[in-house]
Parts: sequence; structure tokens; C-alpha cells
Amino acid sequence: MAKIKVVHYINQFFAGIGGEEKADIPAELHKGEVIGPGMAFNTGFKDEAEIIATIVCGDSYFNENIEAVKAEILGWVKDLAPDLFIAGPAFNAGRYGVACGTIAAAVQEELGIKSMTGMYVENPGADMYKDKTYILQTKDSAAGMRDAVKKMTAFALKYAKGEKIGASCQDGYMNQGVRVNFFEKERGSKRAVDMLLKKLADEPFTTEYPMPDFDRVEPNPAVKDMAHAKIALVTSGGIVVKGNPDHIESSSASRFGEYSLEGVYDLDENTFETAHGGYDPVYANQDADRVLPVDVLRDLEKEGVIGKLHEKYYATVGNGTSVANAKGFGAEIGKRLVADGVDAVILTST
Amino acid sequence: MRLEIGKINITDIRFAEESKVEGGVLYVNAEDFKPVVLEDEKIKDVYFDIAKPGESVRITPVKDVIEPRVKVEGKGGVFPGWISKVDTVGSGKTLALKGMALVTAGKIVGFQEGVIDMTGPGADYTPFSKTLNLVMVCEPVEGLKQHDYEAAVRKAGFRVAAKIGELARGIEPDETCVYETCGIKEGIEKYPDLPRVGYVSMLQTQGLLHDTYVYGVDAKQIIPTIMSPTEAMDGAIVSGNCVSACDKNPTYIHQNNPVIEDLFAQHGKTINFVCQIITNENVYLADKERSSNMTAKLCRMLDLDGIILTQEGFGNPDTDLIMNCKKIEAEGVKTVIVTDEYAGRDGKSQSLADADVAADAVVTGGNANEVIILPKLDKVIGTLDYINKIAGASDKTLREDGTLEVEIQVITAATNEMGFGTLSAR
Amino acid sequence: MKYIILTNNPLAEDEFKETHDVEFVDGKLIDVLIKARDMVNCGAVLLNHPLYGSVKPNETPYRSLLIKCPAEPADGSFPAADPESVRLIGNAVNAFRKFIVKKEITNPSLLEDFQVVDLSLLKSAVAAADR
Repeated sequence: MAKIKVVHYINQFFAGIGGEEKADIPAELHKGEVIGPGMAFNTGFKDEAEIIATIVCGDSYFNENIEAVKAEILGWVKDLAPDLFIAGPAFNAGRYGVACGTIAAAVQEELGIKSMTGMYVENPGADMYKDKTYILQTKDSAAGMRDAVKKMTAFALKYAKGEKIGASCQDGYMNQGVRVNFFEKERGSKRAVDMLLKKLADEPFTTEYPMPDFDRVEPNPAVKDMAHAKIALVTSGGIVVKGNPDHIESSSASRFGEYSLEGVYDLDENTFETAHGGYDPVYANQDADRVLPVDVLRDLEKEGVIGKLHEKYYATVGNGTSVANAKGFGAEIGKRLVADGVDAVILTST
Repeated sequence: MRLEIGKINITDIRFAEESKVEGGVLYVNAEDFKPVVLEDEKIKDVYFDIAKPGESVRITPVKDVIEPRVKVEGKGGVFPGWISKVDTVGSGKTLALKGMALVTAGKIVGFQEGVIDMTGPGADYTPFSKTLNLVMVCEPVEGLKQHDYEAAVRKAGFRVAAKIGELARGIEPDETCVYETCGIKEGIEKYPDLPRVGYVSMLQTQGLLHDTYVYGVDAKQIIPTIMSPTEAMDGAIVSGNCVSACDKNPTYIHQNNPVIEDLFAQHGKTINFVCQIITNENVYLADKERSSNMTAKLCRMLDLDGIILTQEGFGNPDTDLIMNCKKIEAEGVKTVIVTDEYAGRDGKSQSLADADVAADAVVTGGNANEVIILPKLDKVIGTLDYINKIAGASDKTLREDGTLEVEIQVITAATNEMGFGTLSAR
Repeated sequence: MKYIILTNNPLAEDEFKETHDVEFVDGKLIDVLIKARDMVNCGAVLLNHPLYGSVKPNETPYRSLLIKCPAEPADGSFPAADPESVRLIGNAVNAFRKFIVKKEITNPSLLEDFQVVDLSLLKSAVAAADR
């Protein structure tokens, strides 16, 4: 069997170029070279796989030129046509982790080439990309390199060969939010008894199904006097000023936008559109009032049902956006609304 | 209470002139059992067949699975409230035919379900591919109402199981297991340092095809109560639940309740296994509130330190599960849940219909929506006529090449919520 | 207690139309859930659980719900929604949507089976509500 061809992505630090002071170097393609942790991978691959090229990019450069650098690297990887793309491991280096996740996810999604990376569970890249590529769990610093390489090589060979990937706990990758069945060694009742014994002894135990933790919010008391209330609109349906000036992502949004409604009485297709990638945008683009009901609120304002429509609205995209990001947006938007003296908010989704 | 279970290992089932158990073999003359079934005029006809592990055989639609047992010492008899009077069971000595099961099959309602494959990938998911199965396929008289027919087949199964069990009377068991629980005071004195542990089992009780019976009583009419864990071993709890093969609890699994067995394995060593608490899963929301209040109260009054909580079904019972868990945890009683999941075919949906942070210790029997291809097998016991209609199947299930594309929820006990199997998910 | 039976099951309508307030929904199961959700959003309280124990929402075409209608507040404002009912009906709609809806059932005997089961579950709820 021919050797499995691997392309490896690393940052300037692991390429031996330098630390923070070199973080702005642009992406470089090193064909036929094996650099840094790639050496350990190659050894681990034995004769089954080999690194055919290494791509090096500074972390700052990557994160500041994300679209351009992504396109450049994707072009290289497409020409190299490897069987597998490995990024990192990034351990707990935040920007490196985000870069590894971004590029691994892009290679998989846009080129259809299998990809994987490795990082520490608290690396921000983990939460952002664990459902888009396989992220193997590593320790939090490069001291864990040996362990990381061992896990990642074993997984890489299995994955590249097309063997069945088991559940996350079996194969050491981060749970992708997809439930995968497998047979345990012990039957369920025995596992339950063992778990109870640990719980009784106040020892750590791991639940097999972490309950979704819904952040329930107690509703505020009703607004008594709507006729004098200032009402704001906030949406996760992605309604933005035409052209999406803030570049809000179509999924997994990392930001929200603040837009003016001054003098706007009706949203139309020439001035507003949706940035949301999770639903058919046709109807929202035709008439964005369908998602963000400015027209109706203007009517109510005119009729005196509400005091005033707030002159700014806030929008983000709720499509796969992480809870942590959403919480952050909510807190910031709330702060601004309070500062502007808004009495009540209508939240619209999709 | 102290119960001895004498295990008689059955290594083969054969049709023969004389019905008997001899040398580990169950010999069956079907003519001896037909009248036992047909004494109920609601059943028009019945036939028996045998399915053995590894054979290219598929049994469907499966209603219930029962382990034949006979009570040889102590109060009462098997299946109290049905076959025997309502004496309290769970003490003395009971013989069980191990390694075999009685499987009742046949159409009850169009969407009734349950597949047992004796070989192939489907066999990995059902515990009843590992048992020698005597299958009893029933046919109702014309025009019989669905609930009458369900009751008829359910009861016929118990009669036949009891009659097979009788064949074992007087036979020396291959192995004897002793299960003993103490009274409250006795337990505290005997095991002063061990945590007091209970088992809360939720019984499916929503109505036709969704019922469970305790000593003959429809459990939707009970308020939660305590039982000796040995009572279930004598058939005090039986299944009248036909729907969702993967996570309904057949009578066999009540008799061989794995949580009870595994808690007994720790009894006197790491825990003091106090009792089983049974509760129901009713449709009416006020009933759910009342029952979960009672369950939590019983846990508190019994001074339990921890419990295992198991459910039956999906959706509606998830609400009971979470109510029970929340209220019991709120009493300071540490709780571990056993459930299964309906996370969708892609595994991406919310697994349960209800959730709460108090449920921080969960054991799962796997995602019932997982799709599996079952190969064509040489023989079908029962009928494939309904295979496209059962829960977990679709109009595309029966494919041209004879293979079946189904969700594992069609497979009997695949994701059992009392932890009978090893299937799990992450 | 005053409540209505919201159902798309013709057998349930026949059974209870003489003795109870039945609101028949000429539609699919999801239409019953959505209608109930609208009512719950306006203050109605669910008396039975909107999901069944084992028959999945994509299996059966029928659903019957017991719904207590709210007293209208004297000041003409909307009655407050019952949070528990809001949660349950929301979860039920979500649960319905996650199952793949199969081809519409047309076989009359199968339809009857589903009607009978739905009615049986409804009866046990009505019995509890009327006692």
C-alpha cells in the first residue's frame, strides 16, 4: 500500500523561527520538509504515512489576515492533495489554536480532505472548531508533546485508513456534539452502581450524558405603561445593513452589529439583508421586516401604542453561535440599551 | 426478606413427545401448551417455534419476553395477581430456567414492534439473541378490540411460562444465589457505616399498550410504594407495554432486573441496599407531580443516602425522570439516572425531552435513532408484514434485496433503560 | 374543573363531544401542538403531557390534549403564561421536529389502532381530571 500523504501546519514558534516577535511572518510552504513536531509525527507513522509538506505561518499574521491566508493555504493543500491534513498541536496557545482549528476545518469543509488537530480543552479554538474537525485532547503546554504526538499519530493512521472512528471517549477526540453509540465493557446497571458509589464518596465521576444547561431567565415584570415606553429591537436572525459592513459570520458568529433606525420606517431589499447562513434567506432579503419588524413597530409608534422605537437596533447570527459568545453579546447589548434608556426589548429569532 | 434463586442452566430446547426438563434440556410438546393458550377464547390460534443463538432467524413482532420460573419454597407463587394469588412473594426459594426465554409474538396493533435477530449485527444489540427462545405466536379471533387482545396475549404468556416453570419443580439447580435485605432497624445495626441505597424504578403506565402491573394492579393507579427487591424476581412486576421495543422493559428484565442484581452485588460490602421504590409514569401532569413528590418523600423517610433511578420510554417519561431526580436530589439523596437517548439519526438533536442540572450523573443505553442495516435472514418467526410500520422503521425499511434499514429502536431491549445491555453513547 | 379537549382524533371527538368541551383540530399532530402552544402562550395550562411515553410523535398522527383555559384578568390585560406549560409544549414541539416524519399513514386499520391508543391515553387523563 502506498504511504499515506500528510500535510502539516505549524506556527512560527514550533517551526523554530521565533516567538511573539516573529508572529507576523506570512504563510510559507515548505515542500518535502518535515519541521519541528512533524519529526515526531513522522517517526510515529513508521512506514505507514509521511509528511510531504509543512506549512508555517505566524499566529498574528494568520489571525489578522484570516481570509487571505486561508485562501492561500487552501490553494497549496489542494495542489498537494494529501490524504490527511494535521494542524498543531496547539496546546493552550490561544491564537495558534484558533488558527489550527480554522485551517483544519476549512481544509475539511472546502477541499473535502480529512483533517485533524490537537489542543488543550480550554484553548478557545477547541470550543469554536470541535464540531468541524477532529480535535485530539492534549495537555496545556508543550511539555505534553510526547503524549500529544502519540495520541495524534494513532488517531491519524486510523482515520486516514478509513477505519471506523469510535465515540469521543474511545478515540480521545473532543466530543463533537454528536452522540455516537458504542458498546461499553460493563453493562449499564453496573456502570450506574459504580457511578453512584463515586458520587456517594464525593469522588469525581463522569456523566455519560451531560445535561444541556439551559440558562433560564426569569421574565421581568410586564411593562405597565407601553404608551410611554421606549422599545428596542434585537435579533439573532442576522438582519444587517446591506453589504454586512461588520462582516458578521453566517454561522458561529464572533460579533454583533449596531445599526441605526433613524428615519427608517420600513426595511427594504435595497438597504437591509440577512447575514444568517442557517435558513433560506430569500424571504428575509426580500423584506427584512419579516425578521426584524420595524414596519409594525413604526405603526404602533404612530398609533401611540408604544412610546418610541429605539433609534438603534442590534443584530447577530444565532446559527451555531457558541453560548459563550452569545452571553458576551447579550451582556454588552444590554449595557448599551440600559445606557440609552430603553424600557423593553423585543427579541426576534429566525 | 431472603430469596434463593436456584438456577437451572438450559443448554437446548427441543420439540418432543413428552414435555420435561432433563439433563439441561427443555423438551416441549407443543400440544401440552396449546390448550393453556387457547383456554382464552379471545385467541384463535397459536403455534410454537424455537430460535437458537447463531441461527439465521428473525423473530418479529415481539410482544414480551419471559423467563420461566417456579416457586418451590416460601409464600406465594410466580406472577402473583395473575397466575398465583396475591400473597407477598420474594422470600423462600424459586427455581429459574436460565439461558432460555419464552417470547410472545404476533400482531397486536399495526405499529406494535420488536425484532430479535439470532445472528448478524442486530444480534449484538439484543440480549435475547443469546438465549434459547421458545417462541409463541398468537392469532386473535376476528374483530377483537386491541386492548382485549393485548391482555389476552400478555396473560397467555404468563400461563405458558408458569407451566414451563413447573417442569423444573424438583430439579436440583446448577447454582444457587441468595438475595437478602434487612429491615430498617436491622440494616442500620448491621451496616452502621455503609451508605443506605435504594432503587427507584419508574414503571410505564400511560394507557393501552403502555402499562405495567404490580401484583395484578395497573400501576397507573398506585401511589409510589416500597418493595423488597426480591419481589420482582418472583414476577411481582410484569410488562403490559408493547411499544418501543428498544426501551420497553420486558417481563424478563423485571425478573432479572440488572440494577437490583448489581446493587445486591455491593450489598453489605460498600452499600446497604435498602429497598426498591416503584413509581409510575402517568399522562396527567398532576399525577406526575404527586408521584414524584411521594417518591422523594419515601427516599427521605427511609434516610437513603443515594439511589439509582431508571425510566421506561421516551418523551413524556423524561418529565417524570427529571421531576424525580430534581426532587430526590433536593432531599439530599444522591441520584444516578439510567436512560437512553433519542438524539436523531445524525446524533445531533437534544437526547431527552426534558433536562435539569440536578441530573449530573447519567448512564445512557445509547441513541435509539441510530440506523442499522439488518441482513436478510433465512427464517422469520412471526411475520414481516408489519416491519415497515413499527417504531424506528419507515416505508423504506424493507429494501429490495431483503435487507432492513431500521433504527435500533426496533430491536428488543437494544437501549434498555434499566442498564441490561452494554450499549452506550458519548 | 373546566377544561377543553383539544384533539385531531375523530374517535376522541366522538367519545367526548356529548360530555365535554371538545375542540376538534382538522389537521395533523403538529397542528394540535401548535394550537396548544398558542393557547399556552395566552395563559392556558396543560393538564396532560403533550408527548406519549413510547409512541414517538412521528409515528402516530393523533394527539389529544387537556387544556385548562385561563380566567381573563378583570383589567383586560393578558393572563400570565404558565411557565411549566410553556416549557412542556416547547419541548414537545422540538421533540416532534427532531424525528423524521414518515410517509403519511393511510391504512385504515393502522389509523384506527392509533386512534384507539390515543383515546386510551386521553381517557386516563380525563379520568384523572374529572375525579
